[in-house]
Amino acid sequence: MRMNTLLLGALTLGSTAALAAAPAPVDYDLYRSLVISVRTQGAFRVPMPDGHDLGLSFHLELAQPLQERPLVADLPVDASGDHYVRAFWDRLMLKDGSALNVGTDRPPLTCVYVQGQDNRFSGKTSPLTPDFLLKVYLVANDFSCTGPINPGWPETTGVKETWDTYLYYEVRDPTLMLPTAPRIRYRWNEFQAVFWNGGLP
Amino acid sequence: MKRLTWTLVVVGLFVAAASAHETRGETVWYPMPDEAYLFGTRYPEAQRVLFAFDYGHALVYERLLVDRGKIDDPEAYERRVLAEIQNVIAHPPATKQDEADIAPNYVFTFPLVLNMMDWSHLLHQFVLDVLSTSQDRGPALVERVRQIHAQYAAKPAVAITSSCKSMVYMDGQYFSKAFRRTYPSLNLLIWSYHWFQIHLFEALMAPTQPARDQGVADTLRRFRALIADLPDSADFDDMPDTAVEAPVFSRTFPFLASAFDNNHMLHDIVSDILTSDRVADSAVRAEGQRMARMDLDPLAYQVPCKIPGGNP
Repeated sequence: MRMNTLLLGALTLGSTAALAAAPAPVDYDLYRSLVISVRTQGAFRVPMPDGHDLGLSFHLELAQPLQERPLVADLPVDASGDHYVRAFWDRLMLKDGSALNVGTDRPPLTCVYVQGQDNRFSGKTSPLTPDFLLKVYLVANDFSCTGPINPGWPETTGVKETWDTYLYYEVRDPTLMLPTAPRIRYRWNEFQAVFWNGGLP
Repeated sequence: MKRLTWTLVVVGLFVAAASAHETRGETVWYPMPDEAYLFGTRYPEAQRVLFAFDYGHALVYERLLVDRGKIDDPEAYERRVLAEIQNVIAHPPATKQDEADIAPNYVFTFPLVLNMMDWSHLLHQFVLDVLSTSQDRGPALVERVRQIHAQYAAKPAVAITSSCKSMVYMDGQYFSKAFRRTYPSLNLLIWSYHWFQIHLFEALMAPTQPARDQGVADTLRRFRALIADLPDSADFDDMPDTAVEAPVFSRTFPFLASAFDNNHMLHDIVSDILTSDRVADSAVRAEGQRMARMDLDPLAYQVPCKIPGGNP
């Protein structure tokens, strides 16, 4: 409920801010192109104190987008309305055969959910803040890609979140598409992971 | 509505700030100088190449650490890693990357080295920022750089010394030169990085803006030529020496020239530790820390500076 209220408020305020300063035109194709550029495979490890790190990996094949174009909202970062962060959300279904590999388990990956952030209009000056931030969820076991929050919760269901298993990471530079800050949620248990950047095959 | 508006402003700020994450103990420069990262505003291509260096350094270290003792064909291995890094340099990132995202094993094996490198690289960056933006090209510029250096030196636990060191520090250890002998192209790539950094400083010492712009453009062009066909394209017999490559910069800021050379030597030392089979796996972490301590110590391997004013 709170998230819906905030989103609705953000959309409303974005519209209000538009009166104060004309926002940049929305480039839906750019945002969709960022989303479909996510990695189709990768390997990660969960560091363990006993030295036996947990290895996990994924491979996926993109299918159709679940929505015609990304959802977009401008979130003001100051009272003037001149500076704003442009948030976008998109979902793509995945083809059968896409899967996570966690130990001996291979839960099916069913969709990609991306919560994006376009900081180019935020007034930022430091390269430490990226132009784009993509928060990528590779979702398993949700064949309708309903999440992250169950619609109508708590009236419709006692469980707030939809996804029991997903691999999450952030991309801070679309040139590299380097996964950062990864974590795995496996059957509701969450672990911080590291991207396993190669090494000998 | 007003309350909702401010709630959302706060949300917006939070969202904008949610671009950083904690993955390790970082060395943070606070408050940052007013000029921080303005070099990249004026010279975005050069700034992106510097960000690519961070990626390349970290990737080399991670590969050498993870694959240590398992590399049967060093030449093929070198070609593969080199191609990967060349691709990043050809398409450099616009944002500074955290080493922990590229090299998660390296950062936890060399924590002191990493703290020192982070701190030193911030000094590099902020000096570039000052040199590229200062309207004054005389005493005020020098004073501003001294202020930056004073803030750097105020954290002696991680500040690489400005004392001039003998090359024996780098080349006189039992594991020395293993990297350059085993992976000559990767070594020349790293020396070319260092050449690029040094020459940027020199280019920014030019008295006029057009000359500085031209100098940075020339440095970029010459750097790309240096790494175009490694190992043949980079004709270095030794690590580039700041006093030789950047004489104006070194005469103006001798304490920086020596500190940067000491940083570059530590880079090579880490590469040698990771490459040499004379360093036991169990000793890698301790050797990294031991050698890093020497880079903090102004007396270790100290020699007279080629340019007066280097030794504190």
